[in-house]
Amino acid sequence: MTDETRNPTHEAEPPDEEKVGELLRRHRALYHDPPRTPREAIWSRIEAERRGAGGIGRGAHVIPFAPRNWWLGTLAVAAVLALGIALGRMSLRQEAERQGAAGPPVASVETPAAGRESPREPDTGARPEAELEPGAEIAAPEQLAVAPEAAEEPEAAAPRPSGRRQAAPAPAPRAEEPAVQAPAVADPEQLYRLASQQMLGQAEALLVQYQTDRAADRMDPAIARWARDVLTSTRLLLDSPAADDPGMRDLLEDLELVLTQIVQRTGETDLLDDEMIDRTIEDRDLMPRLRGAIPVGVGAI
Amino acid sequence: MSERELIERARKGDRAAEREIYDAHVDRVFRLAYRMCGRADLAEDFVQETFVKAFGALDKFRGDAALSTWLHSIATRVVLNGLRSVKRHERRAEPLEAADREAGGATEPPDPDLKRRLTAALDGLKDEYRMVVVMHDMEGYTHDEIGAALGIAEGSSKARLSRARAMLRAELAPYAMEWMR
Repeated sequence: MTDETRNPTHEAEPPDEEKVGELLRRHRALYHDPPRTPREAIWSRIEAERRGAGGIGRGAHVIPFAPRNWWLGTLAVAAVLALGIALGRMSLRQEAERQGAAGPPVASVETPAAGRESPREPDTGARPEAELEPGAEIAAPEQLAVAPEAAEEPEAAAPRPSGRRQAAPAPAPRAEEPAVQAPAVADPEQLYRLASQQMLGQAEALLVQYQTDRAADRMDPAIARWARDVLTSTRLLLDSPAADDPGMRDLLEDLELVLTQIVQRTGETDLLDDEMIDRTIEDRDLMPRLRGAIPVGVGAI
Repeated sequence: MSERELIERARKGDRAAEREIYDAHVDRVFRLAYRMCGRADLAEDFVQETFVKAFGALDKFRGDAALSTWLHSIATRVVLNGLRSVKRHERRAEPLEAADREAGGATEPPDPDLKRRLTAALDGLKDEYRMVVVMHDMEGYTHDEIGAALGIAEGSSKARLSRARAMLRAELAPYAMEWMR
């Protein structure tokens, strides 16, 4: 007997190992006593799955939602982003014209961030612990991207920090003159916010599907293609003002990492890849953060 | 019909042969899955996945071991992976449950109920240990079968059982003598 199993407070002498085995055998009906096997029900599900009808049979109950038309969602995100960019350019031009007529030229898009009212914290690449909690910082939908009221402020379309990929142009001019108002045509910030939410809904659906497949020890080959599309949207958002919110940007960067891992996952079930992906999702608390960042009613398209 | 012939027919897509294989093994696989998870819906999922994988990979079955051993090696992997995922989800719900327990106040008195004590003690084991205990002490598998199913040596199966029983012994000791009567 080991010291750790010896307990002086025990009233009875602990049984030896064989006795434990005997006890378990004798009382095995007390521990998860299996009912009769539902042979026909399981067989039907096996046949359905193998035929491809109904996908994974009744096991589907473990999948909260797994949109098969995921490409529609990524298409929608891309469309919204494109619209946001177009509106941004349009508003730039309009403001430049207005400023050209009324006074000094409007500030360039490349204006440094020094003029912002709420300067963002330096990006150290580290994610503050507070962001792990749903409801904190990134969790509140209104804090995603740029809050609606912020969109009306002149500094709403602040330039992206240096080092960020510059693929997408800023949606609105960097206006340092408080008198300059955003055009009333539409609000690019709202479009970015909508795109962010839709993309996050897509990402959540994708990760839920991935985890479900992982639990079932199988992997839909289409998941890599899906991940690639969501990854593209994620990178577009990272290059957009939607990522000006530090919490949002951290979330997008973590998503970028895990999506890259899923895209690079080998075709065959590779346990090492999968374990790495699991660890990323878990260590970075991705699912709760994603769910916290998606307002109720917004999901994958 | 021999097992080899049955497998050969199943490989060629003979559904009757597949069903025969299923009928011959499903009860044991289901019992093991259920013992490990304690939930009929999950156990059914695990069994379904086991046979879908097995039929899909029948071409890779070389026949070095018995079909039952091969099936069990798939089943144990499916069950352990599945449980890992389930526990991950449960862990996320834990903070709320813990808060509820704290709000409840006093600590629970010792529970003399064998079923609850036994369940708590077994559930407290790591799945890799619990699997060996369930297979050996509850479902009557030999160490040879357990080793083959889990991909470990027979001696490792014995060692795991011994360690698992030692852990259970400490948990169950206060009531063991009473229950042994």
